Amino acid sequence: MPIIKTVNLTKEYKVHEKDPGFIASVKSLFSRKYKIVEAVKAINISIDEGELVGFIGPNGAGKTTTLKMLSGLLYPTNGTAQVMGFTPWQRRKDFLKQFSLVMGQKAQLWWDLPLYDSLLLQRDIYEMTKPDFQNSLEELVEMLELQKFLKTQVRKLSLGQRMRGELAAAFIYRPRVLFLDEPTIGLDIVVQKKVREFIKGYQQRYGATIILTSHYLDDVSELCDRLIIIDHGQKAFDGSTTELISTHIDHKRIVLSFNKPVQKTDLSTYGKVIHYQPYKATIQVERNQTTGQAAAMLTTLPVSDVSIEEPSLEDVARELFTGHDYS
Amino acid sequence: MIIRKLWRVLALDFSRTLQYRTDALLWMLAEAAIPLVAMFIWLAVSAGSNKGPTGQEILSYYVVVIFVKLLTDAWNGAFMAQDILQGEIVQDLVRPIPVVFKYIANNLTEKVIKLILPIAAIIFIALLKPDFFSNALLLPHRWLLFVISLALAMTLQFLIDMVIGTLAFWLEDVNQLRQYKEMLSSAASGLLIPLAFLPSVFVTGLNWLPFRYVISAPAEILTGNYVSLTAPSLITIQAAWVFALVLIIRWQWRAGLRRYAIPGQ
Repeated sequence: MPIIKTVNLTKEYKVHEKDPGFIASVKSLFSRKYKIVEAVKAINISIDEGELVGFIGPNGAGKTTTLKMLSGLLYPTNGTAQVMGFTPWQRRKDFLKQFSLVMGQKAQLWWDLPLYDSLLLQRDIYEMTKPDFQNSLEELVEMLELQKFLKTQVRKLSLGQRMRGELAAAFIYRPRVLFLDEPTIGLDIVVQKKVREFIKGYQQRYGATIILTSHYLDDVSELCDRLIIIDHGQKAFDGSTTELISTHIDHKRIVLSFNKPVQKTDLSTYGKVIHYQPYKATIQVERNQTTGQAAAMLTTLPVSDVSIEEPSLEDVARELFTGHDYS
Repeated sequence: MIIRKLWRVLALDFSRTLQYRTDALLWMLAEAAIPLVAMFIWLAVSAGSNKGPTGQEILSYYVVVIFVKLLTDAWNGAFMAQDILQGEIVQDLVRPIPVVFKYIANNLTEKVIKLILPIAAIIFIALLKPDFFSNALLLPHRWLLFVISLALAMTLQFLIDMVIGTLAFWLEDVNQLRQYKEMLSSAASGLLIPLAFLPSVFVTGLNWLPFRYVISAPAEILTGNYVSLTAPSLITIQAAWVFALVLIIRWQWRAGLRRYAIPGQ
């Protein structure tokens, strides 16, 4: 029995359209033009308890709208959703007590007070017993390394510390279902890694069901066993990360800088030229030929700098959905 | 359990407010300024006329009005509108606690801080010049009715502001509306002009608006100088307004959440 299930979940927005300029503004006072934007189009998802699923897709694809409906923040235009047996937008207390939503910049910590005070508020709101709270707090302090700033005013914390604080507030009552919308946005690599380890650790320890959206390939590939790609409001792919990578990421990109100008024709012998300038170029090569081609270019071309890049999962998602080569 | 949640939110908000002592003092002065100025005007009017309330009655009325004003003020509508328009309300909607608790806590705790100075001033004056205020202010049964009326007035003002704040589900700017409400409220509540100075036809008109039940009603009850309505009617109408506004807000809230698109994300 799935813990999260949606059937033809659809969300349409009515958007007011206005031409630029003063006259158009006056006109819009009397006659308004609206258009219907279909943010999510009949999405069907079924997620079992304990799964860690990544939602990926370009900006405006419908990922966050889907998460908002599953959190009960938005009413769908059509379709149904069940989370832990509840209809989310009815916002029943027993539903709200068992799930958690982390939305990048939307803070649930009290800005003017120490982190510890916000955690105490969570204890009371989620009706935790003192021993449960204490256990959970000790665990979070250790896993997220909160000790140093637990009693510091939240407004004085760095972004990384604040995000760890947000996660502590979201996880302290041990929710069964978590929706994490861009939990690592804006964080440096060290903190990103720490946050990823924490999420994975929590999921393994408590068997929680987690849906995560992220723009970072690392987040998704390290954490998620299953990916759901959403584009233009529709589900474009639903399967394992390995399946996606093996079938869709069969190449890498080599970015080169030169200390002398190079002809484009000299580059095309190594692979597909994606970007070209006389002093800078990006070449796409077969994944298994990356090292060989890079070495060859280093010896024959006047290379001053070289780096090898993975295509982003967003690009792959778009390629997958539209059928066009993203390059 | 629900009391414990409210208590925790109150305690936290109190800690937060304590960090803004200077702001609280300035807010208090700003709110007390209008009734203070009005008091001096009406004292001057009263001194030059044999009709209408006496100087001592005006003084007593305005001392009570300043307290009632400080206690009934509500700014929750502005915060609610901001939270709705900027999507900040999301974090409160996903928690198992009524969203309104946050605004109640903010409202009550800031009032506690604002009252410290005026109460100290009153105690100081009362000890130094005991006959400064009318003895009519000291009757116990009036205090009982006053407390009931004051509680209803606080609730009423909070709800009026909430009705306007909740309109942010439909409108992109509710601050203008709040300003109109403030203007109307100042003129129609007994704050700028005590109802006793108004022609009876105006008073009959104002009886149909909620504003006199916020400021004038509790002050009339404590001073015993009733204008057109007496304590039981005033309290009954206050309660009726509270009930009606709760129904309106429930409807607004449900309808608003249905169409809410959570901006900014």
